[in-house]
Amino acid sequence: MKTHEKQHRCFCTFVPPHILEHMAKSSDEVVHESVREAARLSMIQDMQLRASRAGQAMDIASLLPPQQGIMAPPPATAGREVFNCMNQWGQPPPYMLARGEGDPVTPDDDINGVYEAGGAVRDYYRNKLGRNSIDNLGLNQVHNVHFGDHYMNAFWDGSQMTYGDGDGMVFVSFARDPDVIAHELTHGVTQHTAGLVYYGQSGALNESMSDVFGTVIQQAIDGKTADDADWLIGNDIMGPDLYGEALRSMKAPGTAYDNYMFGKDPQPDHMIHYYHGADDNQGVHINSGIPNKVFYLVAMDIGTDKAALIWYSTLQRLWPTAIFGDFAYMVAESARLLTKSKQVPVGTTQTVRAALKEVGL
Amino acid sequence: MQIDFASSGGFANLQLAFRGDTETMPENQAQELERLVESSGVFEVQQDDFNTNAAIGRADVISYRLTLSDGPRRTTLWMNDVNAPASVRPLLSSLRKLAIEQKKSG
Repeated sequence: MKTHEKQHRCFCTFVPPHILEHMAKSSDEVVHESVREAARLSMIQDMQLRASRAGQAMDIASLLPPQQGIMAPPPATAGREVFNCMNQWGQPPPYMLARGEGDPVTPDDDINGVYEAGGAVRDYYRNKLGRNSIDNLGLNQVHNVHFGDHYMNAFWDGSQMTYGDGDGMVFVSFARDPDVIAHELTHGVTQHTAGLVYYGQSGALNESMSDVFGTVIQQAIDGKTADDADWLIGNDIMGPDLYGEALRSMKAPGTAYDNYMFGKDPQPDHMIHYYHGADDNQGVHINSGIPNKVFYLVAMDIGTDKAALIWYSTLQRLWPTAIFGDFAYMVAESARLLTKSKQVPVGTTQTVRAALKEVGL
Repeated sequence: MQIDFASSGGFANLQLAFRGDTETMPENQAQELERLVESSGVFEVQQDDFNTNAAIGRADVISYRLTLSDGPRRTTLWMNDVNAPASVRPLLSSLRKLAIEQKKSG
């Protein structure tokens, strides 16, 4: 087996991370907003630079030989690049570029579905939230479809999305559900904004943000409102074995499933039921139920798009190690500032606080 | 060969586990697993070979723990969807399938 020569290079900063964190969390009386924002951005950049170069975004399509009829979009144009992994396992991709930005429909429904949903995600962030793609600098979307053999998952690896076909019984293709695609792309948005560390409460906030914008964009695609949405995550990837189940419920955390495969949905809907175990990176997919419920309650009061505006504003105020208490403060503060700028109705701040109180925050 | 496998995490946060001994499982199943183990080269893989950095931004990745014991050969490896060697992935996929079949059969 080939051994890899590792490079152990010290990444050392002059200002220790704990001081940056303290500055990012300080109040206006202690630290000016501009200094607080500088500290927050420094934390994010610090943590990103500590990662391997493999985690940085690359314009992959430009490295590939041209294929007849398939056009790779120019870099930094928020273009879509959908690759067909042809059920291979090699990591990282790329594989064969199957559809580039502006290319016609292909015979493959999964490739077309990811392409369309990726466009819907891009358009929502741009048109509703003023964001130019994942990094706000026009980063092209890279989607890798048909990964592995009956692979039952989808993930964001720090620069690209990857989707499996499912086994056809428990799960169908993960590329067919727009809220999966929006969920994974939002992990990229979080990476380029708050940088929430994928562990413990910051990880649960990271997961919640992805569920929130997954649901928001799914509602936009379906033309639904908060009142008639199902508020379920993952219900469209359930195979025949588990049809009718879902992976998470934002309306009623803890009720999404109860079956032989998954067990019983462990998501809490209140802090008194907070999961303290070590599984799942200390419960990032479990405790996300608590902030998810907050979003549901606020959206039911003021509408999904206005709630999304508050959450997007909050995401830009948080920092990598933010915990639920930090989120509670910032989401109320975001509501207050958006009320002041008349982008959400008067009374929204109080709505947000009531929702937080209902889940014990 | 004794096999002790567990996977967790991912978009669905599905917890799976499979334990078996090729001496006691159906012959076809045992032969397939032994073939996958040999073709994966997993006993030659070192934990240090995995890139454990670049965790920033990564989300919904499945994590795997695999322990194999075959006479004098023993190994335990922790890996995930991003850093697992391509040669090992078919083995991981097969073990997940076996874990799901076990759940279905109760």
